[in-house]
Amino acid sequence: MISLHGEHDLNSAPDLNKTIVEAQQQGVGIVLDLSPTTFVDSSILAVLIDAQRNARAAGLGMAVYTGNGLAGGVRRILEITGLDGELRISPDRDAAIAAVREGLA
Amino acid sequence: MSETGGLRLSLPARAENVAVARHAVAGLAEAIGMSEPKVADLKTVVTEACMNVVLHAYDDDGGGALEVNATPEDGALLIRVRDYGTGIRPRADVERASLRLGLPLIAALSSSFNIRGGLGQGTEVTMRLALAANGADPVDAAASGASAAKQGPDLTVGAELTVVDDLVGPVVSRVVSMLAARSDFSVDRLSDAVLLGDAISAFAPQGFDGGPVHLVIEDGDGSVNLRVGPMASGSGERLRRELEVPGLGASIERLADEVGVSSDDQGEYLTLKVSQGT
Repeated sequence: MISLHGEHDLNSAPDLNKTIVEAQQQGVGIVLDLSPTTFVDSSILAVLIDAQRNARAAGLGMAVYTGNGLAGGVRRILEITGLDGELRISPDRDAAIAAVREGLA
Repeated sequence: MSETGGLRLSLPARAENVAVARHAVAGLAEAIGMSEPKVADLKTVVTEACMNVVLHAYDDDGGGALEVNATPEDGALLIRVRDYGTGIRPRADVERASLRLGLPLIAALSSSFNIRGGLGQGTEVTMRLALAANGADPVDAAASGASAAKQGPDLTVGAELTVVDDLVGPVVSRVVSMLAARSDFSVDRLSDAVLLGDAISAFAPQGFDGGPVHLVIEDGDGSVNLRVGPMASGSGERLRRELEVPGLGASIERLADEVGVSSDDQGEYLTLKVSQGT
């Protein structure tokens, strides 16, 4: 589980990407916790898109956990870009983890 | 057309500065009554436009200038993001989905936008967002004032903002809080930084004569440095001596690590340093 606290943009995208890629290279599925996230930009969305693509290619799981709901701006950017329909998004932590364990992405 | 109060920001086009622009403009927008969902959209479009500059405007990594102007206008906020680079162009080494999403996001979230520029001329992205969620409310009268910005002293490190006096507080609060949070300030020092921003806000109506106020904000080495001015002669010293933080009775000198007053031919400047503490 990788939790993104606060705001994330171009400045933190490389670190997030590195963390995800390293986990995936070790064969680890990922739950991204966006419940404490207050802002993401398109460079973070690009990291999520890449991560899902890599997860599917490697047969690894990847899910987004939203907790009690995404911050308004985060939800909106996911909706506008259509990523809310592309990513495996769950408000249920256990369900997100279970899906990733099954290798779903 | 009469001029209205707004914000001018000039800073090096680097990734870590995008958040400075985002928070400065969001602070202004909240202060003039932009609705919460619109502020969220605003943060996205400002970020995407600034990111285009950081990624695509300049050849070197050092960062040429990134300029952001935000001006309230007829129930909306007009934002201009400008660079002096070689123009937005695809670059293989940074080509990612972010490039393909940035401009469509600006198009989707602004009520109008345009891009001007070309080879060797730099690029200017102009975006307009309504203040109200339904786009109908008039501009808050509090936003009116002079916006003609003088060039301040030649301090190029960090961010330089020019903002009309009654908007100083909200903008400073937002930017200082963000920088302090990013510098891993302890919770106590973070709260001191926020209180300082609020304190300057409370002082603004009497200290700045209604003209544009110049701010230089440096984010360095575990501290946030602020330089605010020009103020009328004597105001800097008065602020330093008398300023009480509303509701707490704490003086500005207990909140900041260093407080000083300097002056040049335009007036007095208050300089503050808040470091992360232990």
